Amino acid sequence: MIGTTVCAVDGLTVAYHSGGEWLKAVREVSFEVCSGEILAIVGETGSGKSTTATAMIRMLPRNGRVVSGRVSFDGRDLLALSTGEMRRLRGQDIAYVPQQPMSAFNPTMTVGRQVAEPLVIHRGMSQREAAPLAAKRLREMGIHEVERVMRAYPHELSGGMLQRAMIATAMICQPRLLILDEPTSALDVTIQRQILSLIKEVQVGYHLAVVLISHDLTVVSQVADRILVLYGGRAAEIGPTLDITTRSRHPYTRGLLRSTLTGTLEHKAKLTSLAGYPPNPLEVDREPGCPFRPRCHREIAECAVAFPPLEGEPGHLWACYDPEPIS
Amino acid sequence: MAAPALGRVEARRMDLGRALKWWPLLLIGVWVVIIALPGLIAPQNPLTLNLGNTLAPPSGSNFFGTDEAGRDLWSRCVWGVRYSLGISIVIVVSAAVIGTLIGGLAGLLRGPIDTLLMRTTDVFLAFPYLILAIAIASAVGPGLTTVVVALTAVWWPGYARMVRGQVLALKELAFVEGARAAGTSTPMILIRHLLPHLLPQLSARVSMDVGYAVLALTGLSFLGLGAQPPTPELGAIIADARSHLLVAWWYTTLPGLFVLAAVLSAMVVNDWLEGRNKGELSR
Amino acid sequence: MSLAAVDVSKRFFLGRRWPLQAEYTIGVDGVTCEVAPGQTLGVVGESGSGKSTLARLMLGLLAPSDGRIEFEGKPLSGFGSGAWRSFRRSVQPIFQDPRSSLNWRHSIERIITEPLQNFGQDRSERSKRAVELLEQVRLPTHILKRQTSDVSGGQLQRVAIARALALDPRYLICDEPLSALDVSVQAGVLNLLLDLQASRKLAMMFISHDLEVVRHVSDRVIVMYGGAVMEDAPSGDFYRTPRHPYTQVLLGRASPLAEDASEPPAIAAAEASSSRETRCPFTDRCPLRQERCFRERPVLRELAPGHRAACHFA
Repeated sequence: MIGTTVCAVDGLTVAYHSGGEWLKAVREVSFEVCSGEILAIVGETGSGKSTTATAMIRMLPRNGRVVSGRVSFDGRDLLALSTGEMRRLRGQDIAYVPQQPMSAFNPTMTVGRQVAEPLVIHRGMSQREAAPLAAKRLREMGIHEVERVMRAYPHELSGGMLQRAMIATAMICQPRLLILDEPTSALDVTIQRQILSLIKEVQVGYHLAVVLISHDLTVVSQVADRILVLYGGRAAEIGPTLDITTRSRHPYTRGLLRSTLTGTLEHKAKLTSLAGYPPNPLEVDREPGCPFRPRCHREIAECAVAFPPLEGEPGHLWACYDPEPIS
Repeated sequence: MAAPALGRVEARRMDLGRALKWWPLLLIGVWVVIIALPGLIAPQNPLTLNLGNTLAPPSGSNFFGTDEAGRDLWSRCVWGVRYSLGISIVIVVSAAVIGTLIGGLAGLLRGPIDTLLMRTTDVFLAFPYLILAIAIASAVGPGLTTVVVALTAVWWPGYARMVRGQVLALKELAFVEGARAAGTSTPMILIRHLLPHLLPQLSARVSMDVGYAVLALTGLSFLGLGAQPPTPELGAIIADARSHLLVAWWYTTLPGLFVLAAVLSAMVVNDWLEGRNKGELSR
Repeated sequence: MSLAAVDVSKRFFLGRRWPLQAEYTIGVDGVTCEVAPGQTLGVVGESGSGKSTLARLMLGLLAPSDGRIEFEGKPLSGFGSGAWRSFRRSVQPIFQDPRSSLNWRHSIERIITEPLQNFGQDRSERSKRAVELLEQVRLPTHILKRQTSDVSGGQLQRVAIARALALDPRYLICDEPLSALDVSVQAGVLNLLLDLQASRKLAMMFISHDLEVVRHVSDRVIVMYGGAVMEDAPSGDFYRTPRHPYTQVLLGRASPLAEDASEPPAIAAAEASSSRETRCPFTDRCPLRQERCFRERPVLRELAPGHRAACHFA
């Protein structure tokens, strides 16, 4: 049940200062997330997906700057808020789960304390008051030995457990927007599936808006409602999951889908692969036109001149002058 | 949140800033000239006696004045710093080489060899250099060789420890396995693979130790254990100058300033190297 | 004449609880497998399954605690320096992350030619060979003088492949060769490996957590869990009729794991080492587990021609 728009990003452009110049890592990216849906942002090296997420919640590193754009949350532009106001939102209304659960937790504090921390900070509770709520949340996230986990230190728990605890921490103040950065990349295959279904359950249970960032299109297509594909800092294609996986129009999306094994290929036969390599994130800014040109087999004259506008059908847009025909 | 556009003036200032970061190399260059070509800045002979002009204050012909034997102090200082600084560098570099080999092999080979090498290191580490210098001097007589041996002997264990520690960590790095699989022998792994990773920290430490070595060397010479007359080593000069302190202030002060300059330069280079190394910490 | 592990176990010593009880972590537990000439052996497992330890044992980088690794019929433990040289020429690795498994302070050319340097080739020969090798992995020659940081992940893995090919090996041990690469680049590297295998008649051991890829490139597949082999079958059979409950879970065929095991808690090493010897390692998470599984460790039994599984109930 898709509800109202919780967060809308409009024309976001982010640059990093590196080697004496400003290079744009994200350019004019726009999308919306509504309550009750999971939007996956998919991209590889240089796509700008992590930069987009950290820019949205204003946690860019010191050499990063938002050059232009608007991030609306609840009718307010997050980029225009004061640091204090933004800090009040983070952890409470907007939750962010960073990559690598192992490193995201403080190794010198017990997990229980850290899961309860947002309550202590935002709701003014004491550790003792917050602990039972933390335990409840952990149980909700599928952790069975809650007492042991509360008292444990991060290094004593496995990756999957830590990720569940991380999600519990994010959810403890019942935010309306949950952003997860590569939640399954550091985990084993069987645990990945569990975490993905957990995310789906949480999203449904709390009617959340979820932004899921990943490099793996096939993995996110299992739970995402809509997918935004980024390439070279720009939006390549955006649309409902079914459209993206079965009726994609952008050559990059097609290429990605085709180059993954689906079990129908003859044994030891070669896969269709995209030629070339994803662009260097710091060099993609230097040339005009579509960043996918060097690897695209459908290149036409316009592609070198300017980046193609996002257009298409209602709900499903792509940025390509010569999109793939529907197969 | 303003658009990050840099003006041309600002850009040029940033370029200049980046270029200036390399100025310690200039400093090193100056010292290299002083050590290699002392005759260039001190044309007078540091050993020539001139008993008609003893303890003369600084003047046009003698920048630093003269000592009690009429020798030009400026030349003596320039040649002196050559000994003090040059020999200190030799001491520290030798200690570093010995320490690296011992520590590196101990770290790579582990087991009984590691234990043997490290216990030996501990023995040398326990020695205070002053006592060792006095001991050697009483056996074979004082002199620059004596202090060089004494200082090198007590300096290498520090490097051995440091390098062993680093090697223990480095050898767990993935590329060491790759090197073994490619057939690389253990000593070659140390030299070809680990050394480039050791060099930044090693060179930073060497530069700092050069400063300390200058102080140690001049100190020992001051006490009479090191350079013997007429060798114009700074510590020895200052020792001679002591008795003339009240009548010839320049005699003690100016060589002292040279020592200060040498040590400070070493520290500046060390600072610069450590700053550069910090940038590499991401690996 | 192959490269084989014969009942190989590897234990890692953790410490000694006074007075006598020593503690170990089990890396590999009683594994027998063979990489036959010209064929690919796939090894599937998650982290902690022992697959990387097995790779290092096969490469001679670790010595087994029990059992032996045999190269062309002879155990590695008996090798003198001549035999080792010949072994190193024949068996080469490709590791998961080229950024850490290649020395980033060396130039690309130096990385590729190091094996040749070890075997005495002189500089001019090495330079020539470097150019040839780059061509074989379809990389432009201008990267020879560059540093690894100037090159993308996919390209760097090709550099690692070029280095592995330098001595003209007959066996390639690939430990998760695609996992650290971008998705759009994985297919290209995989195709390269397939081509090289076909043209050079290489034998490969292909280790990965990605079942689909392993099945696609392998002739035979073994599944590892807790250091032991759970299932061992030709890749076609393996996919059509998986017998072991763990394989079924990996293939997404069976219902998710038993209700009261949301996930195995990190088992303390001592527990793991002592109890694993007498119970099936998969009891932590097996949906079919019963009392017998905790008492008696299942052995690999042949359930169909050439298809073995280690389960009491397969």
